[in-house]
Amino acid sequence: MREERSGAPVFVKVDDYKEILDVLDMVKGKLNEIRSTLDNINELRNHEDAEVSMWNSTINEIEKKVESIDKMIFEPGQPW
Amino acid sequence: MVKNMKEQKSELFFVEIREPDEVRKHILETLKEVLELLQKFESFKHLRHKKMERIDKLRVLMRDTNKLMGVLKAKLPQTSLKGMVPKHHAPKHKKAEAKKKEEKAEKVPKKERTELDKLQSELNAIESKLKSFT
Repeated sequence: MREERSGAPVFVKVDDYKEILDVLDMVKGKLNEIRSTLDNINELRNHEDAEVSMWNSTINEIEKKVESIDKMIFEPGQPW
Repeated sequence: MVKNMKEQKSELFFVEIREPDEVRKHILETLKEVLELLQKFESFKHLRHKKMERIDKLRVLMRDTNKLMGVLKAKLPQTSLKGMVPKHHAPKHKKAEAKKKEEKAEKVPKKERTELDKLQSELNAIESKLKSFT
């Protein structure tokens, strides 16, 4: 159902109308590009997050190793 | 002199490292992990660079879209729905006040507008237009 509006009707020249359609097409194209770029950025961000969490686990392992080295060195055997 | 040297030698102490192979292994493993981490950091830098490139591209695309929307707006007839509503004539003294304000605004030196300011003013203009629709 068409919405009724008060006021005078608005007309657009046929040439302008065609141009408007063209511009709308261009806008749609740009929006598609924006969507794919955003998806790309999201993907890269996910990669980054995965990398950072991997760093975290690696750092945890390194910390454990250094701790055990520390223990081994500071719990020496008999001095001689 | 020789005696002194002998005394010094006898004062040397050694501490036994328990499980030396294990310590050596741990150190090498840690070194390996640190190197791997550095390698990952390089790939991370590459990822970030790629992401920044995409963000720049996104900015350009947004600007292009904004321009196109401006073109679209210009192509459509300049009608305002406010025009349909009977205009209320503002009292004369209000007009005079508005003029004074405008003059004052002109006197104030204009600061260099940043991109953010421009976008904000554009946004304000659109919001005020939208208000006229409701």
